[in-house]
Amino acid sequence: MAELKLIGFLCNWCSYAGADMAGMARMKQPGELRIIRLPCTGRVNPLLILKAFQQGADGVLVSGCHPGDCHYNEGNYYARRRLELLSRMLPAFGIEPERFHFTWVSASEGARWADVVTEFTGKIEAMGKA
Amino acid sequence: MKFLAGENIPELLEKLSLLSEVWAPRELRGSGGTVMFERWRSGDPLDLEHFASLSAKDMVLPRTEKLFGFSYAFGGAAVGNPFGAPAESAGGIPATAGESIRITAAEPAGNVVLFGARACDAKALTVLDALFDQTDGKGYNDPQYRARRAGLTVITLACVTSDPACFCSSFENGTAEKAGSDLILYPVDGGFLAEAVTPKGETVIESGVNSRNKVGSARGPGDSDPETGEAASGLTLFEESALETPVLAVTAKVEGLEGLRQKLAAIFDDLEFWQAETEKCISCGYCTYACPTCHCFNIHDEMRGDREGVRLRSWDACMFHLYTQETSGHNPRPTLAHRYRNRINHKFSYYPENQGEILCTGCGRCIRGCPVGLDIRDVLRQAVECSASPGEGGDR
Amino acid sequence: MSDIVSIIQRVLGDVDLVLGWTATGAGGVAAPARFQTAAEAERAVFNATCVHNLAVHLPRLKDQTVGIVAKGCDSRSVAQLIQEREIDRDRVKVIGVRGLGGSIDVRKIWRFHGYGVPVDARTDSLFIDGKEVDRQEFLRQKCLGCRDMDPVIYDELFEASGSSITGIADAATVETALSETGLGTSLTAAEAMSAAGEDESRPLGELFAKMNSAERRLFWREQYSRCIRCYACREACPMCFCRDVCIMQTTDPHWTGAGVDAGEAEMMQLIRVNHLAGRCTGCGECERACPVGIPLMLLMNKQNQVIEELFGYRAGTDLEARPPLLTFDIKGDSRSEK
Repeated sequence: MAELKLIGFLCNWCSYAGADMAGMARMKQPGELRIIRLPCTGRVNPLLILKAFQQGADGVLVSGCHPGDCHYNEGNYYARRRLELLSRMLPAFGIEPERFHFTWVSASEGARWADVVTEFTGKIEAMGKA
Repeated sequence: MKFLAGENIPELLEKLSLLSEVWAPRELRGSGGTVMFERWRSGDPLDLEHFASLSAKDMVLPRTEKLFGFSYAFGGAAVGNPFGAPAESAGGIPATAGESIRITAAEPAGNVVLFGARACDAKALTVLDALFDQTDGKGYNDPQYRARRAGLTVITLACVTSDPACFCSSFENGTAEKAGSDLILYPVDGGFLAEAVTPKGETVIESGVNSRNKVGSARGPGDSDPETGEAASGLTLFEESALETPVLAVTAKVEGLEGLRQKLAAIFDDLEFWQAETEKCISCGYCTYACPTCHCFNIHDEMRGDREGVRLRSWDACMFHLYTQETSGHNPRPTLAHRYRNRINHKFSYYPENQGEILCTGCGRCIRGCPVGLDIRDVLRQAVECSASPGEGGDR
Repeated sequence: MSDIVSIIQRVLGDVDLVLGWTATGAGGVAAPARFQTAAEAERAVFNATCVHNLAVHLPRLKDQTVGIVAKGCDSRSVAQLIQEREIDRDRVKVIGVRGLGGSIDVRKIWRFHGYGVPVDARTDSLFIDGKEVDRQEFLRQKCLGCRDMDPVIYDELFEASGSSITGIADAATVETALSETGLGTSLTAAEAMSAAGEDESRPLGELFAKMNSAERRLFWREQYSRCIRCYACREACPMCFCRDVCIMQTTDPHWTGAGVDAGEAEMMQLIRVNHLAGRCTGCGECERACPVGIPLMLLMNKQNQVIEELFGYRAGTDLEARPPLLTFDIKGDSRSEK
């Protein structure tokens, strides 16, 4: 099977640091996810996700600070609305909604990050290429 | 003339599709009744009653086409010339030191038989020929266009009916126009009378006359076949017929097109006139894209990563603001009125002046499909009226 | 009851021009027009072929005071433009149309009775070529689910006294995507379509609702392959007022390529859907304007429905409301926390 193309949009302050921590701690995690670092999930234009799918991504993961912990106070609250709407729209676009996942991982949650990636990669692997 | 029974059309298309792509009008599913020229494959239905929403120019000037692909290569050798210049003259184009650009030609277009065009569509091809295929050596030859045009056979359906948007009778021959058609089918009881206008059209008739195995063979359809014994046994789609050709439709005529150039020149600066004419226009590009004679295009390099890409040619439309936008930010045609003025003037003034032919064949698509019901004939009539009474330009 | 001409003439006393309709559009049906004098306004009409949403012209007329004839649905676009501060409430006079009873799908008439057939589309009856037909049958699909019979805002009211629309679905059942575009009668090789539907005469929305993601992807690919990038969908949209600086046409940022194919068309529509989230009033002009009949309202209606479910918000119904994606609710949105 061809290699899966998984794209991750991570906020700089929490999830990217969390992923870094998982790496530093040498936690075992699958390697298909290609991470793109953004300042905040509030920067995640839903079109970035749609463009990724349109260009052949098999799965897209967005992860940011937990609500209440945003480095910019409210970026992830906006993201939460936008991405909830997006995930509900994906079926109408012809994209399986399971291929998109939106979650929160803090800078101290290296283990949680490893779980999120493992679970997400496993799910997409089971679904196969888009 | 030869007679082709209506029920034999699928078989004819079947035969033609062994050697060429066949494109024919069809109503598209889930489109609210949109009819378009589409690639025909065995078993596909045809819609010969409704008028296609887009013209046949897609066949020779596709809405988008790859001109060539390119990539940067380190230490690369020669560069291929997509336009077929001799290999020895095609030297490497230096990019930066040690790099060269590799160019790959687009795949050549295959032969196409267009079935069910109308006289206005076919005529428009000859208008485009005058621009893209100036074989008299005085001007421009477009290799992509010429290749597609040479491989195109046009089977035209003569119009015995028309609708109120048709106005081809405003131009020379109207529905009786034969230019651009290779074969014309005249609807008669139970089928069509076929008139070959060009050798390509005769080839179509021959491919219908000859046997099945003949058409599929490597020989040209006109060659003689040693196995004609089978062909003579009655596989003849075109029969001799003494039927008369039917009376063709007469469509609306826009009066006063003669000398329109001077009339348009007289109201060129009357911006109020053009504003009034375009008050309902929303500046979309449908009229230009549906038009069989509009031919503006844009050329873009579409990169994939930063080391390779393709050069695309795509339709462009003078109704778009960006069409004349300059890098400085200045736009010589800043408003809709300016842009529409250009559209009308190009069709009925500048182009006839430069090329001797009006850029319109009266197909009426821009009228039928306009989202706001703008009728180009009204604009022309107003222009004629307005220029007849100078001084009262904007005050109608 | 005042007729439309005298209302427009009255409003012309307060504004520079009035946007309305004349009867003289192509194909013999109403077409948009601007009236600047009482004499010009004599040509004004209102009938059930006045389908266009004239609010699309307002952003272009910002330097003038403008009157506009607006059906209930169109008035939501005016309200939304005011809400977004694209136009100034004080500079627009709305002539609201009440009780229209739905407008007519002219293309459907042309499709079955020929282009330009004489149509007399009154607000309570419909005559095609002199013969009365069932008006209901030729109503625009969107009118069947109308929830905006009364204009949201108006300064003058025009009573259209139309027939009532039978079979108006209540809000709860205007569910999955209604689309104007019906199914064609011919078959193509669209596996998606055949997988989903047995009865081709049904509205496309019903078939679409039954498709799975893979079928929808095929469906859209086939639909988008017709796109010629004329941008009629965008130009006809009252809310797409970026127009000449739209990212569908820019090379930097490079959201779409310059080619014309199903992939680029898909990206264009994803951009439109995304940018109209919480702004689309569902007027259906994009789909009506599309010259190749791409059923764009399947997406727009779906999104409007989701937004109403998630945020209880309908665009253009409240001048004071804050659009749902420009705000958040710390507690209320937590349902979506995963």
